[in-house]
Amino acid sequence: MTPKRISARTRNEWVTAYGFLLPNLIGLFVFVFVPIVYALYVSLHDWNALNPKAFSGLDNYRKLLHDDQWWSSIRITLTFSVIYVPLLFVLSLLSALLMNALRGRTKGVARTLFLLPFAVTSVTSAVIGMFMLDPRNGVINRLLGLIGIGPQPFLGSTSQAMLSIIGVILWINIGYNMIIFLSAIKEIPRDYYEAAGMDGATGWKSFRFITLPLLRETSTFILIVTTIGSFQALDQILVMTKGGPANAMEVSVLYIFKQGFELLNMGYAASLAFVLFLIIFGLSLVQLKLFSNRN
Amino acid sequence: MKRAIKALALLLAGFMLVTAGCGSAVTKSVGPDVSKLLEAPNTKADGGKIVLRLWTFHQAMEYHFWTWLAQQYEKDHPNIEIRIEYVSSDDYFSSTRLLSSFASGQGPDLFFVSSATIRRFADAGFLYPLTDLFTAKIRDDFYPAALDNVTVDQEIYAVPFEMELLGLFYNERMFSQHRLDPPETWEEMMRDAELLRTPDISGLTIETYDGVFKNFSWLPFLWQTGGNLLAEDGSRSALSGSQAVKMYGFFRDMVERGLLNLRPSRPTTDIGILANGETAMQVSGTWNIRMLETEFADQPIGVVPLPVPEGGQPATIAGGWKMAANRQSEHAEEAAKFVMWAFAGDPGIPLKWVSDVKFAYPPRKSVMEAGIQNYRKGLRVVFTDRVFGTEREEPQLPEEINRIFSDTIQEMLFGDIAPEAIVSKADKAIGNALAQP
Repeated sequence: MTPKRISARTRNEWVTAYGFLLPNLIGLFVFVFVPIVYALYVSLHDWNALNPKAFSGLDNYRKLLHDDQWWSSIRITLTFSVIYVPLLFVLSLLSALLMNALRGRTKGVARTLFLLPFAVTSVTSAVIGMFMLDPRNGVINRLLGLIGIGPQPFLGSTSQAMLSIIGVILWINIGYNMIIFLSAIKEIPRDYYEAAGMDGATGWKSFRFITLPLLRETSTFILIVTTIGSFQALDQILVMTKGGPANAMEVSVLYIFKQGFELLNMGYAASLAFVLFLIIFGLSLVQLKLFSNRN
Repeated sequence: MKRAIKALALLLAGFMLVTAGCGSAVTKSVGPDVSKLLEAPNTKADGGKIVLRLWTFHQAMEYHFWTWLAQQYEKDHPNIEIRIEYVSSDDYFSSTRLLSSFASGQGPDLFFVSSATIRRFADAGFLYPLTDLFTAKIRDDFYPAALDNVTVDQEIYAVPFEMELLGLFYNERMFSQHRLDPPETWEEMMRDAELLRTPDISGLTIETYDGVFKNFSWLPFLWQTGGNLLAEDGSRSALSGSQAVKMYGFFRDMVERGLLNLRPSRPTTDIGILANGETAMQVSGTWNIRMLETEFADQPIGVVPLPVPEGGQPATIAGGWKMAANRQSEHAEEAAKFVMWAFAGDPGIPLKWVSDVKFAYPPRKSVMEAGIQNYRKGLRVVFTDRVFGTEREEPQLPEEINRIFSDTIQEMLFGDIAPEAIVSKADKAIGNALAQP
């Protein structure tokens, strides 16, 4: 068997490609791969971040199996994810369709305005959200008052806190996801719609049978990224309620944060983080499998 | 149709822009010079001097006190340079910045500890023992409870320099309009809250936000019932069988009647909540006195001891910061000498802190005697005559126990399980936490 010869040109292309990839690969190795392996190592120890680590085997993993608060935080995270991801997906797609329908100079202006909240940092957005949702002086309660609805507690209520926080996070993220959808919609050849129009398919039918199927890859990307993001949501929750009221918003990442940096159970926090990593990894694989079927 | 779509899109875009623009309304706090922060931790000094880094979260007058103190020490000790470095209060109170600096070997030489953190830092070996520097005369000058509060396993690890007490502040105008006297009992407090609250004014404000101040605010009410979190020797929960359920039941009742301010506009350490008319009564501390004497001097605000339940004992809590020296520091001994010089020597220095810079009670008898006239004017006299003496020191509780108590308050305020169930759940959780090695 003769070894396959690689031409000088192909070799040059490889060198160029890897040259461009190298900075990112180094970043991934140093800031992602190494911390994951280190978290696994720490998770096998009893460590308070100040004293030397003491090897404890799988004790931390056994402990999490019986930790009611951990499982409660997983349940809250799943609930958050199940509400947030579809809402973000649908609203981003609708906004993109709306933007696509615009013509003339309005289009550019509206697109910029939609994207603008994404430029606001997460902590700032949370602070603004707190102002708007303030039960006494907040603008949302003032608006509700205009239509005869009494003041709502929002972040001070175990039943309203989650939807209130989701509202703030949606406000920040819709614009970015809308732009991704919009660029994918622009890629769809107009011929398809014209041909469908000649066959009598317009409106909902052309959306259902042309737009949606051709957005499959973009949709997969957005669903995976937003699902991962929803499992990692922390900033706004920490700022707006610190996991309250009555732990109603204590999502998994926040619980890990509290275990690590408040209670100084670094080993245990690392084991929780590693388990969460496996959950997110598994969910992403499932989503990829489900949506990658081209048929 | 196209017009409608265009209008809808512009409306939505406009809303997002307007709300995004709200960011500029956020007030920025004024802190010390940022360039100074960036220099840290630079321990080099000219002329071979020893540099001691002191981390503080204080601002304005309080920050200037530390720079003044550093200058005074440097005058008497020309071989020492004290560098005051600012750390935001959020980072300080959560201890994250201190912990990471210690873990990386970059910790400050001098820093503040609280009752909540002293045991943790002492156990980790970051506190320089000061026991040998406390002569019999010095020990005798400190109030025993204050000294107990900085003692861990028979060693004194820090020097207390302030005692801050909680009281019930109230709006005198609202009370006089309704011909009410300020409350002395829980029942009167509930009745007054009921009479004084309006759709825009809440009856009573006590801390509801998670954090160290929440436990600080609620512990005295638990103590007043005769209840406590831990037994005297700290070996078991003291909740079960106590009157603690009385507190959870009473304040749950207040929540259900809409008398408590569940989402105050700011942390309740800030008396501005009461001064700005958001509430009729507010549980807060002595640190507000100076603000009430200056910024809110025109506001009709009074203060009384925390109301007591029927058959209960008057009680408030005494908190405050203590200064410690870093045991791991190359100059730990020099740092310890500075701490003792500052707050265990000349009474003039701690007196300046508790009377000129802020209002607080000193943990030393000699300082109290030297500044007695400061404690007999305006609202201060209420604290001096009616609150001081009923205090219990903030306990050195493990963080797990603090968290359990914090969760019970959250459950009482926002949850729906019965007060009895809150107590029994907490009792079990404390038992589990103490059983862990």
